[in-house]
Amino acid sequence: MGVKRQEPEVLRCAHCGDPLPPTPISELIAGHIKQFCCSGCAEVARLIHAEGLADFYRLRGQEGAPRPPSAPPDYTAWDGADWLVPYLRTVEEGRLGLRLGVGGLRCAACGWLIRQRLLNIPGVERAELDMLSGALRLVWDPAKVRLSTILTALAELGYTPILPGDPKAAEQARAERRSYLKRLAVAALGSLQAMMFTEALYLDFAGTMPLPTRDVFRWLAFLLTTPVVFYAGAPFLSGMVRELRLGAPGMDTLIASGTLAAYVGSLIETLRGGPHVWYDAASMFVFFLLIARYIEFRKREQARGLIEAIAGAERRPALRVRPDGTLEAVDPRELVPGDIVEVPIGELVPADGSLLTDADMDESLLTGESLPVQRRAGELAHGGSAPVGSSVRIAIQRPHDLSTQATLAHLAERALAQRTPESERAERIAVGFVSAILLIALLTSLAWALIDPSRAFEVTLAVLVVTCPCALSLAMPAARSAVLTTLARRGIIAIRPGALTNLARADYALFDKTGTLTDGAPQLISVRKLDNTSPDEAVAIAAALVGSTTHPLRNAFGPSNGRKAERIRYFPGRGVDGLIQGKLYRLGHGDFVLGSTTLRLVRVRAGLEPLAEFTIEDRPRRDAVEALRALKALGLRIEIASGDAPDRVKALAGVLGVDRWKAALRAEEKFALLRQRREEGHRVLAVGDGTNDAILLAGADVSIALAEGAALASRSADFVLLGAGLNRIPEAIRLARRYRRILRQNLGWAIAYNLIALPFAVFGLVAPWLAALGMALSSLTVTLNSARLLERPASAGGRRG
Amino acid sequence: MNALLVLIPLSLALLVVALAAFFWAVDDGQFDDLDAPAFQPLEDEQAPLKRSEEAR
Repeated sequence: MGVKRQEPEVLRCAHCGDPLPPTPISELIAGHIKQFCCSGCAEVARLIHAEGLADFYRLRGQEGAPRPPSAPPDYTAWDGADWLVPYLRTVEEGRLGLRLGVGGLRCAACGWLIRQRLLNIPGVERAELDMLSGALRLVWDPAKVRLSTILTALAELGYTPILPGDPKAAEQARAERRSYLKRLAVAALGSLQAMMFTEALYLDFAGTMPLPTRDVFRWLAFLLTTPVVFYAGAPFLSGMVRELRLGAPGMDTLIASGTLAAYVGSLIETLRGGPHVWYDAASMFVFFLLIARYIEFRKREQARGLIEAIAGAERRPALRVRPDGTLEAVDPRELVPGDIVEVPIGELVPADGSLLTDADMDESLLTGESLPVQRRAGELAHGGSAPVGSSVRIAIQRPHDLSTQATLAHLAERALAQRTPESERAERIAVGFVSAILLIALLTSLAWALIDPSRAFEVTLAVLVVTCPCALSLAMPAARSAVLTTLARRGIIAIRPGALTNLARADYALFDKTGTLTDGAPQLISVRKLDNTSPDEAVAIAAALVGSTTHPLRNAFGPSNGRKAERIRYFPGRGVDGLIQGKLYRLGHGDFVLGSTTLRLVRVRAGLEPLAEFTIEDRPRRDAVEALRALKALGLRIEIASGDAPDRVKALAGVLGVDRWKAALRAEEKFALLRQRREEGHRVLAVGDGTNDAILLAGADVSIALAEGAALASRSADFVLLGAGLNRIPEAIRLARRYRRILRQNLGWAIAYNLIALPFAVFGLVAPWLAALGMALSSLTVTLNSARLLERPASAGGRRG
Repeated sequence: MNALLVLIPLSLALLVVALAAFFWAVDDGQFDDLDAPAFQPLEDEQAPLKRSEEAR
């Protein structure tokens, strides 16, 4: 599970929870002195207390909070913007609604804080946050408050508004969810009531009920069943029409024809006063199948919300610099060559552009390179890379859609389209089965029309009901929804659930290195003494120098043991310098520290005096070794496919005990490697996190992306791993294999049951009510068998890390 | 058996009322979010008050 590194001695910022820099900001808030890492955090804390929202700090527990920007960007460009129009909706007159993504959410307390803060703004009527998908639903009165005011309030707290995904899709999903609920309610109430009346008819064994009463009950049951069949059952009816039009009868055809047969047959019997009606069979059937459909729909919804949140991270507004130097937030697609944009630390560059200053750029998501790359002013900053240490400004050279990241996205989409569609065997079996049943039912009715026309209908109905694909149609969704629930509980969300069977069959695993096998945080491996300064002291000095920056190296050196650096200056691409106890030190590489290739600490006096050299490496995730061992035990071969330098990849492969590795691969080369492995006959599982892994993930038989990586990677993968924890990959495979086994049992049972029951039904030995009972029991068996997947099989057998 | 003449129409009427109420609630958006409300009892705040004030 997501194990956090504990550094108990480190003092943490009272707001964001990051370790305090050597010179924290102290602030008297609500009678207590609190320490903050930066003025931004202090400002937010003051704001939160002033708004009476101090409960936030109690509610959030150990969680941190996002660090706010030094000055919130100007969102006035969002007021009445053309590009926002499709996302807006008029709730009632004079009220506007908008569905927004929110970046920076950590826990439920964040949701609480946002809701409280926004509802305090006059004119904001609703602010509902769905923590699951990170979606914020806003309703406000544009006459009282402007959207930019609301968004600024959100940004002041440190949360970023994210442009919503396709607004139509979200709207459609909402409408679908609502109609499902209504259909379910109608089916539940209608079928129970209809059951009540038909039950009375069934219990009339001796036929003592007066005929008028019987007919009244029948007509009442008819009245109650009609909306169930035609309103609640509409999805099946329209599904049948669609399937028949395509010439491929499937599940819906069988369900709808079974329902309609029972319904129309009952109606005929009611009209002519025949001995039996089967209204209850028709309505119960719709009800049960609707439940299965709804469960599946919810699972898909969940995954969709996640995908949207992930995709939304890419659509963060870009900060364009106005001629007067102020910032405005704009849609990245609006950027044109020549625009100047500012990119805050850690945010992604929205489009390819040339740097206006020297900068260290983190290109790990694009190339897999684990350490920041030095870029000089005028060099290209690739869309999708992120500045480290200080924010940068770039002059846009290419539109967003033609930028590096967008190009890789395009390649990934193509790879995804080329992949052979996931064809579930269960589905194919079902279609064949359905066609056979319909044929048999037809033949039976013809035969009985010759033998005994008065029983022809009843027998045909029994055939249809007894074989009714309930068990068969439940076999897959029930098992699938159980396994997806279990996976989701362990933090693995299925983007494409169809890939479950491929996950069970995978026999080869291609792993990305940076950010996947390693956690992307550099670690100090060794210190080399260059004079008589002790290594501990050198590390502490270095820690003090980088402690107040946001450079990833900050974490490598740990706490500074009380040393404080003053007048720290950051030189992008070179290093930092600062005064510690009156002495000037520099930390960096290259000319800055006498031409060293590795990171070196020097003391500046008359000249530069080297003190120590540090070796910094990306370190493997703590459970990487264990996870890879478990994968090998499951029969998978492991290979590392990295874009990083060969020596670093080799070192890591050694540590992890992996004998196959390839380094310095570009995105296309990773894909070529994948194709080669597939041609060798392997079913390849790809695991990655970067934009450069996207094509690999999209093209593999089955793929898992780490949610904390690039949005594009998650979108191209079949499964997304929330939080860290490589251990869950072997668990997922074990679960997928179990799913496959249970699916086979389910199908076997459903088909065996049908094969046994069918002859009896064909020869007229099964009454429709008995058929309905058999069907229900069969479905129950399948459902209960699937429910076994809800248990925790992996943790029962194996250890958990 | 006369009781049935009253009780059956009554139960059907109740059924219609229940469904109408449920449909209204669904359309009002009360079932749109089935996850977040789980957190609401943990919060002590006045947000609902605010909504009813607005409605008046």
